[in-house]
Amino acid sequence: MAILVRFITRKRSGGVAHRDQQVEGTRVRFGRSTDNEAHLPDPRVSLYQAVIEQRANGVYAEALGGADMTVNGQPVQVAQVKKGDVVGIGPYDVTMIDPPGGEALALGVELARPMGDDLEKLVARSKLGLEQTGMSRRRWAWMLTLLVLAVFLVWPVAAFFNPSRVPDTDANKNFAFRPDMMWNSGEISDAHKPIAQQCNRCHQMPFKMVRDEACYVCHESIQHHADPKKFKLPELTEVLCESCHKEHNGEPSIIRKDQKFCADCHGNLVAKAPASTLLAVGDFLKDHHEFRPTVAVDAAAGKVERISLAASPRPKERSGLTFPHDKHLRPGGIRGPEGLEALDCGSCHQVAPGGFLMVPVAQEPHCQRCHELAFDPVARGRRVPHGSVEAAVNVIRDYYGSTALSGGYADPTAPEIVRRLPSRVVLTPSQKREAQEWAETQTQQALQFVFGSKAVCGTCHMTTQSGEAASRRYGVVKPNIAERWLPKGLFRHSSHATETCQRCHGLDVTDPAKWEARVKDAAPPFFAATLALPSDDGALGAVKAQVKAMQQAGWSPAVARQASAAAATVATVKLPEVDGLRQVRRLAEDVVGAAWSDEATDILLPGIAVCRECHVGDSGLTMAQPNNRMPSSCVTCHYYHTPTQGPMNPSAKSADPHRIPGQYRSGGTEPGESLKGLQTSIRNSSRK
Amino acid sequence: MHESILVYRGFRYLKLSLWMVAIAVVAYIVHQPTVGPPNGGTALGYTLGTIGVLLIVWLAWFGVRKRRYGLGKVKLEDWLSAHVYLGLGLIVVATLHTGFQFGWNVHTLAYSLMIFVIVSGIFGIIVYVRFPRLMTENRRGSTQRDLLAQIAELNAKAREISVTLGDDIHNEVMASADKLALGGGALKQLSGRDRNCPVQHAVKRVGELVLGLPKSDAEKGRTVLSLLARKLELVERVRRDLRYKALMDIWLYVHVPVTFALLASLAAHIVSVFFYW
Repeated sequence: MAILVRFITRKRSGGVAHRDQQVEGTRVRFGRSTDNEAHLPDPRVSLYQAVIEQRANGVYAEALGGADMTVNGQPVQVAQVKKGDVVGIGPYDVTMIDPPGGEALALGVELARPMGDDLEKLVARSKLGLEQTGMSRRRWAWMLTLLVLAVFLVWPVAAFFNPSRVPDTDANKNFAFRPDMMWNSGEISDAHKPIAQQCNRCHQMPFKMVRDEACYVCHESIQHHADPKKFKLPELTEVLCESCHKEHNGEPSIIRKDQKFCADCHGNLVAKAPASTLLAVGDFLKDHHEFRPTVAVDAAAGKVERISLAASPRPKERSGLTFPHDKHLRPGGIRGPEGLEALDCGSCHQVAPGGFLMVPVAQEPHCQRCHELAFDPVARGRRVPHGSVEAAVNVIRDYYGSTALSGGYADPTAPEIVRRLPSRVVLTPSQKREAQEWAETQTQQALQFVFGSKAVCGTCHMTTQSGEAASRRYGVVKPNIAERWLPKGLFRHSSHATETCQRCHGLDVTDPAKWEARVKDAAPPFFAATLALPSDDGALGAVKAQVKAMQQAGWSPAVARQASAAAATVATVKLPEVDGLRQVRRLAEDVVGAAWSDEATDILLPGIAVCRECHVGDSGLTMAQPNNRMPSSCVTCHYYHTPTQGPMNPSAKSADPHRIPGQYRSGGTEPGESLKGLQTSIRNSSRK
Repeated sequence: MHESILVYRGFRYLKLSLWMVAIAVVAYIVHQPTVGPPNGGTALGYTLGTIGVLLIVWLAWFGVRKRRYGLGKVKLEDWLSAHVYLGLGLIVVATLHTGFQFGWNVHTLAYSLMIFVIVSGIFGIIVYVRFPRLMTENRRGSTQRDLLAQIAELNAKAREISVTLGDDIHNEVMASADKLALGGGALKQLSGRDRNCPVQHAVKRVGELVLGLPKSDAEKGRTVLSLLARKLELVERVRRDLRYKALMDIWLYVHVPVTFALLASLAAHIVSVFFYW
């Protein structure tokens, strides 16, 4: 069977040309693909768009794969067709024509809707793709690049070289904007915030690390860590300030706190700096020697020495003072001008402003109210002044001299001439001689009383006397009182305000052996008197049972603790009033009071073990220990820039040592102006 | 079989990148700065910064290399696969270089631009992996030009028939052909929508007008309507095609210019750090 396919072309002139093609078989496929029986070379046609087929019951046109097809203008998928029907396949019209040569079927194929201008116009109107929208990657790249370079590089650099044209950030704190602030790599430390807007205060030279001179502008007298002439170490001489103090990290402080920083050298200082006399130290918990306070070994000579608290025998402080603590601290109180009054640590010791040191104890605010410095019971209200031997001698001499001449000395044993009523009577030469002799004798007696006995100066001070009789000279050893026992460390009392004084300064802490011996002495009379009490009522029964158990257990350090606790109970808790209770209470106070030092030479400083109850090094604790202590690195107590090593700044005008709170030692009599006010307020409050 | 650049050579460059990231992370964890917190100014900070800047310059060089077809001993596929994976690894290297210190400054600007470039690159990877298949499915074997030709042909067919119908319908048919513009501005291409599509308007309008035709013309009216509907379907397909194409291209309009901005800010970053050492 043969099918004729006639391709028809209409010419512009109106003529019609055709090309015939014979197809063997019963079907003709139409499509863009060349293996179709009827090849339709137009982009709008699919590869295989339709088929026209001779079937048993007629000729059928069928669209392939859901493609477009119309029969006489009607879109259909499959339809029977007969002569004259027009099948639309894309832009082609296929007409069923009369077979000119007797073929079974003849199809006229004509491009009825040439592509023409429709497509080109549509393409021209459309923008197919982003490249047609006028956007240019190159233009964007240039614009952004130049913008970034101009704003973030050229502008700040230009500002650096034209400082006069940069806004003054000091004058306009709220609005001034320096372009180089865009280079700020991180927030500056709190202490430097006031100059945070002025980059060139530190960054003075381009492409050079911040120079030390920039730091010296403010930190003019910052001190060396160690004398660089004595210790020629690169760690001391070849570092910049900024090697250790790194800015712009958003941290509130740029002070190095890591223990390693110190321990690297100080852990083995012998190897690093053989000239040093410092002991090796490392971790505070594991590798720090016992404290070595500066102890006055000879007050008269003003001699001090650093002696370890672990030394045997335990160091003794010879400050020139002789009064002991326990006399003032009896729990039941001591006799004062207005009767019994109980003193505590705070009655004499106050934390000084700043929180580091204690206000030095002085005679006038602390002692004078009770220790009046009277030298003669007849001379009421007459007192020697404190602080000057010469002034005291003069006051005494003046008093007796003038009394001898004016009379009125109310003592029956005195000569009559000085006992007479005060009058302006002119004395005869013999009367005068008698009065002067009396005055001289009285003066010598009074001087001996004031300086030579334990009653006035000797109550607290070590005194001296030399020479014989009338020419005898008296003196008071100048006290050498510690203001800073541990001058290389910075201990801040106010940071430890939550602790009691006794926690660190009680004799049971500072010298446990001595304390134990004192408790051992005081406990037996207390035990005996307690057991002798004629009652077992209430709390008393419990205390007596405790005491009995302690007596039976025999003496041991643990019993000393128990005895101290039991005595504290008796001294403070309300017990049934029975005969002998007062006596028991007094004996209990002796046991409790054993925790108070009884010698002026006791050094009431806690050892390092007491600090370690709360503080450990910054490497923390071992696995075996509970981690409930405060990690403390070296700079918790020490400083790097040591106050006495000389200024780092070679052109420092002032050679003053870097200021640290307080002096090492004071005379104990002349506190600075700032402390006087505080002492006055302490005095006033203790009077209330 | 086409091998995706992601699985190229058994993930050779993914492994390389993961090694780089792992070494950087371990170094960051192990390294204890002598002073202060981790930051770009420590020994490790400088090291990571140097690696980062070398990577950035090398990654940017890909833009030059890909234009030199057939040149160089290393295949472009190697370059692209390495570009993708090392570019992703750069996120970690650069972030560790910052020591997680960020602020309103040129340094964080450089970092942000870098992240912006990398994120746009990730977008690029996603569209390159997903969209070619979607585009093929959408076009069903035709080219975009074929689809446009079909639309043009439907224009002609519809015009032919509508000539004999009333002016209302004919004008709609003419407008749907003459006013139709595909694509357009970047936003139109990216959205794949046109609120004032003349074809959509014509379908709606002719749909109403056909109901009012006399019985004799109803058949022709329905034919015009179905041709318009068919055209609308093609028009939307072309718009979808343009949208896919635009999305496949648009990320490069970010990726490339921002890369240049990144290089500029990187220069400012490095100069400023040493200018104010």
